[in-house]
Amino acid sequence: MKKEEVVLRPSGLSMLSQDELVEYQGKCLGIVEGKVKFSDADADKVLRGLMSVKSEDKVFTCVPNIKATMVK
Amino acid sequence: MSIPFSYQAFPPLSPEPRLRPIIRVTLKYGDTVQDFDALVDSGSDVTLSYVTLGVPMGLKLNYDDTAKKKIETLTGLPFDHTINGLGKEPVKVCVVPAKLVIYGKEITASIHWIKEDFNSATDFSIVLGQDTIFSLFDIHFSKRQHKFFLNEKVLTPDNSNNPPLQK
Repeated sequence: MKKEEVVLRPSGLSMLSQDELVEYQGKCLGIVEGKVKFSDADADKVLRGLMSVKSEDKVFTCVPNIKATMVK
Repeated sequence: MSIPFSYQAFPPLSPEPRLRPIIRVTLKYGDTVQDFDALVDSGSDVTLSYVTLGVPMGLKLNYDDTAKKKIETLTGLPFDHTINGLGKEPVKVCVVPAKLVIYGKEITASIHWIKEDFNSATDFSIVLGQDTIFSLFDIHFSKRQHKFFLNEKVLTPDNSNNPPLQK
């Protein structure tokens, strides 16, 4: 039996250019097919927007702008 | 097979860019499916996310007692719970199961949904703890290579020249 191939999808953060990292710092992003479609500090707003899009390739990520803590 | 992943800078910019093991995962809750960037955190016993992110996917804030009991039976944990991290104050969570797909492997996780506002400037949308990704893979972190590796088979490094296991 042929082994099913797992498609490795890059993280959303890795898709962003340095300019985009600067532009979107502090915001949540909805990335569709490699392009930023939604950006806002409001996670709920971005996630709902992202979920409304019909695509097989969409990812939610965030670009922090200050020293992030591992555990709150 | 060992699958390499690059570390990501999180936060990515100066003054303090820091490399973190971040992986894209699929979260399934009810009929809703969505990919997220998630942190691989060997120091976390459990897998965490935020109510802020769960609600758009169909997570309810209020369940009746019967529903809570049913969920508690599934997770084996109290529905309303607190967790303690490095911070001094315990954090309130509700424990509700959801499915996670991590590199093609699906697991039902007792996700600890944090009942605090999600801060896009500081928070990770999902933190993968010992109960999920570490149950599916042996993971090798190499900060020196800026990579981490998921191993589908149990990782047994050649330790014939190494000293005995330290306890």
